[in-house]
Amino acid sequence: MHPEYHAILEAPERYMSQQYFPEMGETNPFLHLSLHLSVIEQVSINQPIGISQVYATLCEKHADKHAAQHDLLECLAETIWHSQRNNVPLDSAHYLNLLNQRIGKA
Amino acid sequence: MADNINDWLNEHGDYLYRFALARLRDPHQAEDAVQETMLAAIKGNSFEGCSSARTWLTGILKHKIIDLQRKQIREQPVSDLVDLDNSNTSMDDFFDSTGHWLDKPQALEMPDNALEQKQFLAVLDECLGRLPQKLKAIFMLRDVQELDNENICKELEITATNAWVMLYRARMGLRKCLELNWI
Repeated sequence: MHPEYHAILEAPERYMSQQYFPEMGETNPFLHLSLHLSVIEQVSINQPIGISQVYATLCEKHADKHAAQHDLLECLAETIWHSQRNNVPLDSAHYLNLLNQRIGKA
Repeated sequence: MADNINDWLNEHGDYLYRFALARLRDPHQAEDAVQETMLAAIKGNSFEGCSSARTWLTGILKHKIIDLQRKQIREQPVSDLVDLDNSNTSMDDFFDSTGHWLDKPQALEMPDNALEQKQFLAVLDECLGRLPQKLKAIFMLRDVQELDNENICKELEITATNAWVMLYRARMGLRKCLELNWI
């Protein structure tokens, strides 16, 4: 997964304190991969309930697990932003609604 | 047609200018956007009367505003880095080494009378002006113009996850500035 980040992951002490500028097109590899790990974990325990089915549908749609995970993590990132913006706990119903939109169910 | 243009300018010019100024925060750019809107309206001449002239002109203006914001973003990448280097929006200022808040976020006291509201808006305007251009642009597109994320990503040519990070940084930058200047 993301071979372009492998060199960075092999020298975390060198890159951990580096600033990343999304406005310059840079992606923080630690943040990005942690989002991947989060959605993989969520799918493995099917929490929120239904995410495993959404993931299976997306895998079929993209014929690519990585692309399917990107769909999930975009929804997760939006849910986190929603929580921060409104100063509320993570809203799993909102998250599930975004996930279902990805497969045309919502 | 000429009569139409004069009527539109007289009837809607001020409204369009205020609409543009609220989003661009720059009087010269707002004037440019309105001027370009009028030119596009004359050139296109596609008003069919299905909606009001104001709605139609505002629709054109929205596109002009987005064009200007996109142009701003492309032209000012270096200054954005300088601002961030000066830690105006550095995230490190908010958290300790374990990732916890150094100071609990304070609730903003919303102004309850006209004078305070005016002062608050002036401070908010100043704080928006201090954000790096790209963060300001995405904040305006999402939180003021309420554009959806898919369109924002297309307009700014960024990925979805980067968009959420930028919105977060913009919000944190604004919060920091307001805490220093308003609370």
